[in-house]
Amino acid sequence: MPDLPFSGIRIIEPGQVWALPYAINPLAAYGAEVIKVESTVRPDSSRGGPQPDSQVEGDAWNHGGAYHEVNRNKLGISLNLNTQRGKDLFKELVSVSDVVAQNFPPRVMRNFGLDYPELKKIKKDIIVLDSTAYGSTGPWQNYIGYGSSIQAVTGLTYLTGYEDGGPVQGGILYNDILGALTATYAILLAIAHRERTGEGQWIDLSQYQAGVVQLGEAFMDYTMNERIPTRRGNSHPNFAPYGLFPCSGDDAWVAITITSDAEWMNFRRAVGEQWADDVELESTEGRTLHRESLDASIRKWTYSRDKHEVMRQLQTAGVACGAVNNTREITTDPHLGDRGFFRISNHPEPIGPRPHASPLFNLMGVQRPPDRLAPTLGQHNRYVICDILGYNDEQYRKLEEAQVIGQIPNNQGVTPPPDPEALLRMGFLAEYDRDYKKRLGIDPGDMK
Amino acid sequence: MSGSALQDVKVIDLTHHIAGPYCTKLLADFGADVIKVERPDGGDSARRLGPFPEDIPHPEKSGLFLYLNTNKRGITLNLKDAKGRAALLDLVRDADILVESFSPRVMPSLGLDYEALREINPGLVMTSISSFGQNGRYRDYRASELALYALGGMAYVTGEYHREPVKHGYNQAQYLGGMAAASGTVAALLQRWRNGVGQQVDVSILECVTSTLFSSVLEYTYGGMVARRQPKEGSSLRYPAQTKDGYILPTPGVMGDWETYAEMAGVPELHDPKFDTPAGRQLHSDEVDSLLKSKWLEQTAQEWFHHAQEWRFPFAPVQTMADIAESPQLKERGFFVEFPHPAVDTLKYPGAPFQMSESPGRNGQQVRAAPLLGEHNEEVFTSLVYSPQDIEELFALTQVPSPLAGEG
Repeated sequence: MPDLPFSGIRIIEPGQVWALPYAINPLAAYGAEVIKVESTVRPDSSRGGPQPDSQVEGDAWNHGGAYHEVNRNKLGISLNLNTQRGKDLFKELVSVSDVVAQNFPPRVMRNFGLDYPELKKIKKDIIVLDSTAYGSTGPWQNYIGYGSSIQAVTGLTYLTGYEDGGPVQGGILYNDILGALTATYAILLAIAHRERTGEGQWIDLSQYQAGVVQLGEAFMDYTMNERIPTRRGNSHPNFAPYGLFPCSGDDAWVAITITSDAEWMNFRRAVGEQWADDVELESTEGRTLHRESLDASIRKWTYSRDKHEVMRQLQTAGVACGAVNNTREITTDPHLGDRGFFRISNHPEPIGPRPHASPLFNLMGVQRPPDRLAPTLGQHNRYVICDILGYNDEQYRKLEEAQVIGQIPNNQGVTPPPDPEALLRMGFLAEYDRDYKKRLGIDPGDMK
Repeated sequence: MSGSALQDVKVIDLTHHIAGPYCTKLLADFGADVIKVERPDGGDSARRLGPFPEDIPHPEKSGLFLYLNTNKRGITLNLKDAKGRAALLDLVRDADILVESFSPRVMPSLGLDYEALREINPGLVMTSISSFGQNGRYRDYRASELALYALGGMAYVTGEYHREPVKHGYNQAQYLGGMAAASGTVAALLQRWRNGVGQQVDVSILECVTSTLFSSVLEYTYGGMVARRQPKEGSSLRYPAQTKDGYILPTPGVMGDWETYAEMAGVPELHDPKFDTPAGRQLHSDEVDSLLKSKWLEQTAQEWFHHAQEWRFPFAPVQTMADIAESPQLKERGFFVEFPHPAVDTLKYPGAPFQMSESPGRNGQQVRAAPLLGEHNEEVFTSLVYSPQDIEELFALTQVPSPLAGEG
């Protein structure tokens, strides 16, 4: 067995959509044996998109990019939990596993008879994570919420936006990812607790709480001063200049943020403009006092310059500065390239080679093994049921016949993705890059 | 129940500002014994950042610092001085974990890189949190919350179509980095419990920001589509709507069906074939918007929230910090914690993101308030069997002023 931090830990993941699978992804990458449980009746709804080159072909439910992003290195089984035999198999799996991580609303697993109190009877030291929108207790326990709803309820929406405008929804998936990162930590804590004491436990994760804890200082302002903090665009209460400035080209911006007097002097040297020599600007107080005129002067300076050129010039001089990157620029970013953050997986056609993100913690003493592809629906039914649980061929065949397991979803429809050209015309895209494969180094012609 | 998950785990915390202290708060709140090491001249930079009571800056009253440093003990050491470094090494010898958030060149410049530290403690887990990571061409670049939002791609897709991009409120990037680092730390600890070998953990805040884009990145890598801020037309259901009191996010969700939505909202005019499909609603978005806009004004955000949830629509009120402080859901779950601190008395703080049945950590009754600057110098160094004379020397070196000096 390779010496990986989670070798020998078996995790059952009856997770849906991609938020919970995202949480388990780093555990799978670092050696846990993760068994993803879906059913042919209700496959993971993240299987749909985005489809390779926006084309729906063949078993399209096995081609979705989001599905592959979060389910690499996992085993996959399909199990119809609406049948008694499906439930029994699930319980048998639990009896030989360490962790069950799931994100159905509280009533779903309760109705299946597969909630923590039941699972604990089967395996005394099992760890169960229930990830829900609002938590498994309290008056809102059965309320539902997606990432965007959670963003609103946690205060983040209210605090995001322009100084002169209403609340703004940020990236709609933001709080899903945040909930997932939180779930990873919770599971690791529970594993540590079990290593130390031999005890399993129940983790009741509320995405509502997971969002609020990341706004601690805003909450403290309310609790200290009974003041309701509000939006302030990109500006900073203590520092100036601190904002985005327009650069040459369409919708091109650069962040320039100066948080010390020494950094200002670096900036002044780098731009070499007369307006920057004003002695009043040498102190934070002076710069915040003259924030508006200072911003106007900087805008004039950045306006005709390339955003990446501004970043290079200012960073070389010792000024915190960053180009506003789009997704093309991120996935081809030379620094992330140096770090090997996006790693190419070779999928069979029609997907082909695609870059996928690495875990967010890099364990420098561990040689992370090459990624295994995400499972097709029910790919490991036989391995899990026969090799792990010890069923014979005859029993396995009966499960197939009774449609407790299967490999073809009942509903095969993957909604055809919208035409990228149309999205571009309607203004939903910044660009449609037909050469993206060349740029990413995944063009079949370039990979020989 | 056997206490906390990380009970008896010893952490030396060299971090400052937000990301690093949040990582060690997550370890401390769940039971680790965290010794926070601050520089003697003013300590953690977060002590100088607000919010402050009545907006009057005071190093022991920063709401940011008080929140991020619960359950830690605090000492002061000057790491630029040989004696300070020697004292740190004495602490490291006996520790399980060291967390630092300096720019990557700082620890090596102090002779405190991982290779040096593992020589005195081969099992040490050293977690390094930085803006760009421990290698790569931007390694030594400077960063800020906004610059990371810009470079990581979140800014570009957030905000109004025709205006400049806007970042999320407050310091999300820093918190994400802290959370990822806490996971990496425990992962390395688990490995070390198995094989006795420590390692360095490398977390880049930039990568954390980029990851939150998720499907937008995949739309490019799977289809060449570059996302941007969305035009507002035809998408009002995805944006906060003004109600009689506050805003509601009137999202139909992914599974909601339109006819039920119209019935729930009480707008029969929406029962029209032309609105039946998402494409149809987009095409006639002006009509949809005007029909709903006046409707939302009839009730408060909280009323719409409960009403829509009864119909299984994932509406959510756009809550302020006042709403959150009074949230019946959070109160009933015992989310908030209240405890005294010598400089700001008793305040209410946010608690933990999740509840653990057997290892509740120190979020309940036993919270320890954030340390005053150098509060535990004597206690910590006495436990290292330093002689009173050694301690006096170290104190002279660190010159800790009485933390509450000047208080009336």
